[in-house]
Amino acid sequence: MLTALTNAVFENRKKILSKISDKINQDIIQEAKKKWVPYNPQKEKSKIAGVDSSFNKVSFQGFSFWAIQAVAVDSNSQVLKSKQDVDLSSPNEINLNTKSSEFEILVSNDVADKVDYVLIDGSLTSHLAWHQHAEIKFKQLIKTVKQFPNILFIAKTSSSVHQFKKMNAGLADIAYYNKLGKSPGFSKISVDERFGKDNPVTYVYARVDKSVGLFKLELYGRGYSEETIKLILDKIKYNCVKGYPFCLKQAHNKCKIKDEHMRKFSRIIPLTNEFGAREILEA
Amino acid sequence: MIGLVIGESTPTQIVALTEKAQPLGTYVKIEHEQGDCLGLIERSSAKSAAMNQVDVKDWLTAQETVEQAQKDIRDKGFETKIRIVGKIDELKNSKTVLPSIPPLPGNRIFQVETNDLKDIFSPEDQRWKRVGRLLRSENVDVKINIDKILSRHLAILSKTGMGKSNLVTVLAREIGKIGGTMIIFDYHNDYGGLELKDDHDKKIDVNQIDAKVNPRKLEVDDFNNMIEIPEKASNQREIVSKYFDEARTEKNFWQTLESLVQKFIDSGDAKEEKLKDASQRVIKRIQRAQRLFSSVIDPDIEDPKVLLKQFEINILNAHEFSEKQADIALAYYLKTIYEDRKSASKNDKKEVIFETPVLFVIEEAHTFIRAQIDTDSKYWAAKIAREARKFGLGLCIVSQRPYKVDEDTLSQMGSFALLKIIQKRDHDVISSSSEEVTDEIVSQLTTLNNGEALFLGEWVKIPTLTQIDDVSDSKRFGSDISATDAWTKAEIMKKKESSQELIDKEDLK
Repeated sequence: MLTALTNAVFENRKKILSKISDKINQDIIQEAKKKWVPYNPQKEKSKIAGVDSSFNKVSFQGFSFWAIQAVAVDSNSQVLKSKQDVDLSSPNEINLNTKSSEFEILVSNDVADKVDYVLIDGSLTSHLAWHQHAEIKFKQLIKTVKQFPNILFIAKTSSSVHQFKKMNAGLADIAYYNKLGKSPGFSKISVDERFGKDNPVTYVYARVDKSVGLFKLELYGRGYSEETIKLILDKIKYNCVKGYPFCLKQAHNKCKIKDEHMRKFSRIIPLTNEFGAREILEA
Repeated sequence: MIGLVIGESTPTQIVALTEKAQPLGTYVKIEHEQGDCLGLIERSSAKSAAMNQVDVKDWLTAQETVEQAQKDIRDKGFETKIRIVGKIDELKNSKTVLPSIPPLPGNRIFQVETNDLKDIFSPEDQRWKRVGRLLRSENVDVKINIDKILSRHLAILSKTGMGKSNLVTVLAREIGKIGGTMIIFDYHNDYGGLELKDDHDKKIDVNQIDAKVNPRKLEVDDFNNMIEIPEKASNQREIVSKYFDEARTEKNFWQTLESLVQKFIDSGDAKEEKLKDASQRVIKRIQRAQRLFSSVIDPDIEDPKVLLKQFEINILNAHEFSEKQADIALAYYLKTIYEDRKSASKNDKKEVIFETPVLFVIEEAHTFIRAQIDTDSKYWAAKIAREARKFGLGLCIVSQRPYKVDEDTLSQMGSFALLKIIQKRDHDVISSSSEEVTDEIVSQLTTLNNGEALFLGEWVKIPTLTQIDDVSDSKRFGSDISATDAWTKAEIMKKKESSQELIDKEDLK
């Protein structure tokens, strides 16, 4: 199988390369260049909280044992707020992505008034997408981000293609901004209205230092100026290591639920006599 | 409180998280349900949570990470590995008793009270003599049990220049203070100008003797080695053997031997050319020996042993011997003193020199007690190591190349003073010689500074990290020579001499 796959790699090489080739994408890159605002953020002292969540589950025959945790961590590595839950559910009864999003918003809500900015790991549009069919939760989310405009969303990557789709772009927008080089700056302010004109999401792709990666910064609402974005980046940079907010890394480490944790929890309940899905495969 | 037990603990070892970084070699008190225990810190490490989280591979990232880490009061963690050496109350009563169950994770760790350390490392008993202070506790003296050195022997091992002969000098001082007897076989003139004083600044008797050998007392093979006839020169050796017994009984030993060999040549019995040639070489060797070795080979001295004095520190200066000659001389002295002490202990009314126990120190032990090479001195040293504790004859071997020392002899040493040792093969030899030497202890040996040592074995209650007293001003020789000092002085002297010449010339006018 590997030989056939390797052959496929050779056969598709040109096609693959063409998608990331600068020569072919020259027009799009020029367009991206016009949309780029060079700016080297200057560190400004700030108090920032990073928010992240994690979930894990053990699947048994007919049910799942799951655990979810969300934390808000400040730049001193102190956990300011956390929210957890564990339970048993039938496999389709619960959407863990939706639940963890809900928990992230809840902890952000609790700490937003204590810090300059709350940075939530992930995309605001993803959060809105998870809750769009649950009216109450959707409204709760909008209420929170409206009430606390200092809640920001930071995504390490993005699949958004809105900016260059009309130019037959084969890659996501962020890939073309990456082609511009390694200098600090941000893309011109864009507004995503896929959730309606009443629920605009403002976003930029930003790089806070030389030779570090881009991230996508999203804020709820519209009418933000470039000066506001610059101020936000100055304050975020104060907390960055290698171009990424350190508190988000700390939050990620603090909330992570590993398989070994789930095994320990299963023993505590105990669930060790239940048939696990793997046992069926091995039978 | 300075820390807490964490992780997996055993009755002999714990890992602890401490509030601050702890120095290696520090003694601590560990809370234990069977009685508080004394622990020795064998490993000390520091970690940064931030530096561990981030992929720090470039300078800028490292700087940024440190900036963030400095804001986090929980960033740094200090971990130590601690060896449990015994229950404190038992140690104070000179008993080493380990707990039978491990301390619980969460048990507290404290600094040890100075008085407890003093009771353990500095007993009041007269057998215990001060040689330094505890490495991490300036106020606590370290004493060693002199009796145990005599009865169980001692090895002092380290790389060059780390303070081995300083420690020997300290031991000489302490033994001298109580009127004990010590003999140091000084192959490299490390103790040539030794001066010792007691606590009242009174001089301690040091007997400096130029080690000599009376050839009449030797076996013929030893005599051949003494005058440096090579092992392979069988003809020469045979010729000497023929006439040695006769020569040794005559008044003029050298002349007699030379004339007997000359007669052999003149008689025509040396018919074969090679025999004649060998005989002539023997004569040259005899003449050479008289010319070059008369200070160390003396057929007319009394038995050399009578120059040794009991109740004194005896320095046997052997620096004029070649290696082979020194081996023969050392073997002679070891054998002599062994037999002397044996007689003394049996009270068999033979005249003895040493009526009381003796400590014999062999410097450069790797030269004489060598692994895989049999020498006369090795035979006698091994015999003393095995048997002589019954006769009150203790052995102290000193070496900067432990891996070259005979392992069997080393394994007979009941006590060790380990100063800085770097080479892995030396570590391996030491590990195999003593069960107290763990991997952690071996790793500590590379971190010791000049004058610092780890004492193990019977002469201490527990492994003891010590700052040995500095008595380098007692020895006029043995230390490294400062080349720059010597050159500067010589330059100054040259200028003085040329100035003096000018003055002298002026006078002549």
